[in-house]
Parts: sequence; C-alpha cells; structure tokens
Amino acid sequence: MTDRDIEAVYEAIATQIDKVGPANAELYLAKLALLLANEIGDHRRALKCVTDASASLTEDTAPGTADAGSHHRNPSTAGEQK
Amino acid sequence: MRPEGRSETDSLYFKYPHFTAPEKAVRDAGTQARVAIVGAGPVGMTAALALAKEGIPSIIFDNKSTFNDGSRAICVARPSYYILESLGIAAPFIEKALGWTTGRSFFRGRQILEFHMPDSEDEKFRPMYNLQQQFIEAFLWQAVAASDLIETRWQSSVEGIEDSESGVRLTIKDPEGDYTVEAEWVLACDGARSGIRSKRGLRLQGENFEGRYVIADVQMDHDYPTIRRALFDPACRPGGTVLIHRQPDNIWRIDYQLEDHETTEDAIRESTVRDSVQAVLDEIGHKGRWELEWWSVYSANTLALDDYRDGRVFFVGDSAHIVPIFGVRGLNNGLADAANIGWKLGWVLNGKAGEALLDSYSPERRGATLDVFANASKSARFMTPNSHGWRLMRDAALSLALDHPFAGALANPRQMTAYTYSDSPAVMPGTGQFDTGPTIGAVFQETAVDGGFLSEKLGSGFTVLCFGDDLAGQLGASFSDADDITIVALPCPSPVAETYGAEPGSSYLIRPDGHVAGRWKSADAATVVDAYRAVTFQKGARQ
Repeated sequence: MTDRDIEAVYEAIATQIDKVGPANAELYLAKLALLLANEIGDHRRALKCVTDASASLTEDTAPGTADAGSHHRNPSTAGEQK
Repeated sequence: MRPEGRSETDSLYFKYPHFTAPEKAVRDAGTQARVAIVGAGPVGMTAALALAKEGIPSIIFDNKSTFNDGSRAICVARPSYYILESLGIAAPFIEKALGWTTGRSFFRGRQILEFHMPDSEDEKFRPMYNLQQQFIEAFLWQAVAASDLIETRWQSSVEGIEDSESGVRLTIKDPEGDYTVEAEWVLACDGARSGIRSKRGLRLQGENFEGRYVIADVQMDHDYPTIRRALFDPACRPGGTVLIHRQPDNIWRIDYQLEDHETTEDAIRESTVRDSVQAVLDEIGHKGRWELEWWSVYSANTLALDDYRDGRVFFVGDSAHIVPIFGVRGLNNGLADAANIGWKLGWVLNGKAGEALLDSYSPERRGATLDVFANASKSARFMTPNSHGWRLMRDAALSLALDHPFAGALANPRQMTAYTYSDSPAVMPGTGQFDTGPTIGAVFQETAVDGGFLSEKLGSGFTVLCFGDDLAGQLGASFSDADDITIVALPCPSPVAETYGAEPGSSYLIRPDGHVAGRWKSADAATVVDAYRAVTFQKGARQ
C-alpha cells in the first residue's frame, strides 16, 4: 500500500465517521475494526493492532486534545499502556 | 411466584400431586439403605433410576410434598435424551416436548441472524427440546413410582448426617418425628442450597456475577414456531436482552435481564412483571390476551465444589455446582452427573466393577462443570454484556451479522454437547490412532444404520463395536459370562465405518454412558478384554 493508498483510506474513514454521526461513530469504528481483522485473516497481526491502537491514549493525552502526529510512538512500549 | 390469589402450585395447566409422608410402620421397618438419595428432583430421581437399572435399591428423601414449583429449567438437550432412553423412559418426553433446531436473533427490532443447531438424518434426537420442569419431574416420577427398587419418602427432611462404621447415618425428620437411617452411600441431590453440603462443612468456590434476570411464563395463543428468539437492545428494554421460548400447552417463556437501577424487590412485584411482559409482547406484535402463569428471578454464578465426593457422600447436580443459565447446562449437566454416578455406583455395588471406579466421578463431572463455566461465561458476556466495551463489541458483531457470516458466528450460542472425559481413570490413556471418529473419552457418534440408529444397537452395559466380522467372533469367546458386554459387528467398509475412521479389524469400546473407553485401529481380542477389565477396575486388571 502506498502513502497515497493509506491516505485514501484515512479520508474515507473520516468521511464515514462524519456521515454516520456522533451517536453511531463508536459502533461504526468497532464494526470497521472487526471487518478489517477478518480481512487480515491473521489473528496475531490483528491482536497486535488491537494493542498498538491503544498507545498514546493515556489520561494526560485525552483524545482530541493531543496532536497525535507530533508524538513519537515507541512500539516497544505499546503493550504497557493501560 | 404466581399472581395474587394463587398458591405456588396453582398452575394454569399443570395439576401438582400431593404426596403424603410414609406411614410410620413402613419407615420404622426401613432403617437400612444401600443408597440414600437426598432430593426427589430431576437429578435425584434420575440417579435412583440409574441405580435401579443395575438392580441396586435406594431410598429417596424429600422434604416437600409435591414437585418443584414452576417451570424452571425448560430446555432438555440431546445428550439428556440418551440418558432418558438408556433408562427406558424417553417415550413421554418425546411425546410431550417441543423439539427445535433454530434460533433467530434480532438487533434493535430487526432480524439479523438465523442459526441452526447441528442436526441431520444421522441423528435420532433433535438438538434441543422445550419442556417445563414439572413435566420432567412428573415423567421421571412415573418411572420411580413404578420401580420396586426405589422407595420415596416425601415430607422427610434430612436433619443430620454423620459417618458411621458401616457408612453414613442420616437423621430424618417427618411429621411423625425423628428417626435414623444407616446408608452405605449417600447421593446429595438436594439442589443449589444443599443442606447436606452445609452439614458436611463444604462450600462452593467461584464467582457470583452481578447480572440478575427475571423469567416469566405466560399462557397465550401466539402464532410462532418453536424457534428461540433473542432480542438484543430491543425498544422494550433498551440496552438489554430478551429471550423468548415456546413451551408445550401454549406456554411462553420470557426471560429478561434487569438493569442496575431496577431493584430485585420491585422487579419481582406482580405489576412490574406484567408491565415488563406487556412491553415485550408489544415488541413482538402479540395483540391478544395473555395470562401470567409463574415468574422467578435468578442470577448468574459459576460456583462448584472442589471435590464432588466427601467420603461416602457424592454431590450430584446443583448441590455440586451452580452454572449460569445461558446454554441450558444446569438441568442437563445435573442429569449427566446423575447418570454418571448412577452407573458407576451400580456397577460397584453389584460387583461388576471395582470400587476405584467411583474415584472417576468427581474428575469427570467436575471437568464438565469447568468446561461449562468457560462456555457459559462467554455466552453470558455476549447475551448480557456488563461493561461498555463488551456491549459495544457485541453490538458491532450483531450489526455486522446480517451481511457477514463470520460476525454471525460470534452470536451463535455455544450449544450443550457432552463433555470429553480425556485423562479420566475410567477410560484408556491416549486418543487412539484414528484420523476421525469420536476420540477416547468423547461420547459415541450417533449414525443412521440398518434403518435405525447405532445407539439402538448399544447394550445396557459396555459395548464393543467391531468393524468387520473376524474380531466379533474372537471377542465372543474371550469375554466371560460375568462380563456385562454387548458385541456389535458392523460392516466395513460402510458409512458407519467411515464415520468412525475404521478399517476391517478396528474396534471401539463404549461405556454404559455412551462415552468411548478405548479404540484401536487394529484390535485383537485380548487387548479389548484387558481394557474392559482396566476401566472397570476389576481385580488383577492392568491399570
């Protein structure tokens, strides 16, 4: 997947989140996660993504206040996140 | 509970019998019991019938004067039908119960899934039957009352239990007063609040879950097939789950979880139950009249004794374990416990097996309970998630299920299947060198054969399935008359041989409870006979 490809996915997800609205966004993302996991077809990789996605979501970097792009994420500590 | 003005046994469709206490002369004459069974519920009666099948007499004690009130456990699973059939009493159950294979799940009012439990032309019984518990008890009672080997003493409570030189001494209290009974063995089938358990100083270990549920039975003319409906996040109970089951005699079971803010005290009030039921019936489009029959409240627990045996006392059914309702494993596992200890104690007492066979009861049945805990806990978290995360993912799976079968599989309830007794002392070690077929410790695989079913060829004791004719002849000459063994020759190649992964000369040894005790790809008669002696713990057998 090229940078351009992942950008297209990024944009599509953003568009869909707005389209389903705040009331359904969480459910939408949960469905999306299950669908993508099923598409990967590899439960170990899917489980690693499940863990990795929780990185940088600690209490002092609440979603929406931190600029996730400016943080350097160290994958080796991802599993230690609460 | 029942509506105001009706007693606990005042049912719309079932006439509860009244049982009198034993006459003083009768009980004074009977102060010795080979086996004393405490509790005349489904488990106690099944254990008594299993013992009677082996020629062993028993006395059942129950402090009530009639059956348990209300419909309680209503789902009888396929493995239980084999138990009933082995006792020769399946006919009334087959006639009365409603067999079913299909479930439908609804998410926010929309049907999102229809599942079918495994069933085929090779199965004699349906995967599940709905039947109210009082019918289950009534049908068992017909057989118990007809047996010369079973004496039932109603209105007789066990007030004391102590070990004695010859066994166990029970102090019984009935309307005439107290007396003692000397029993060689005791089966405690006295339910979740077992008095025997507390008198022996034993405690259930495990978890109490938070969830509370109301079950309500209503009688109504309602046009829907025998299909279990599960309503997830319905308008009538937002965020909750409702289950609807059809039962015989126009009775419908409505089962719903209570929310945290609903107190148990308020939830079981008649007016609250009526309002909750009406909301569910509105949701499923029932416009006609309905009568409230009975209701109850329960919570989900996973609790079990560490050991189901305490000296000469065995704990059987709910006295040994309390399991969550999801997956219909309470009654069905209780019947499996009763059948398991029934044949084993029967075989030991009539001399067909060594006493060490009894040591296999607790590991086999406790293993089954722990397996139930694992499966039922998963089911409970799906049916009634108790946190935001579990609810969100459950809802995601339900919302995907309509178009994506993989997500539907997450919603498919784990069905009750017979537990595999691998590592039990009462089966041979290993799994046998087969590519397919039931493994050692698993229950035999039913198969259509000769216009009937394989189960109909099994004997009442052990059975050897012999594929090809040669082995059957040799085995017939190798067993003695004292052995309770039935030799069944099966053609090979054939569909049944294929199911069992068998070649000419292959053999399966099946226990009286239908579990595989051993199997050999290429068997010789001496090996099979040795295995029979080993798993029945006969003197001189190689262990």
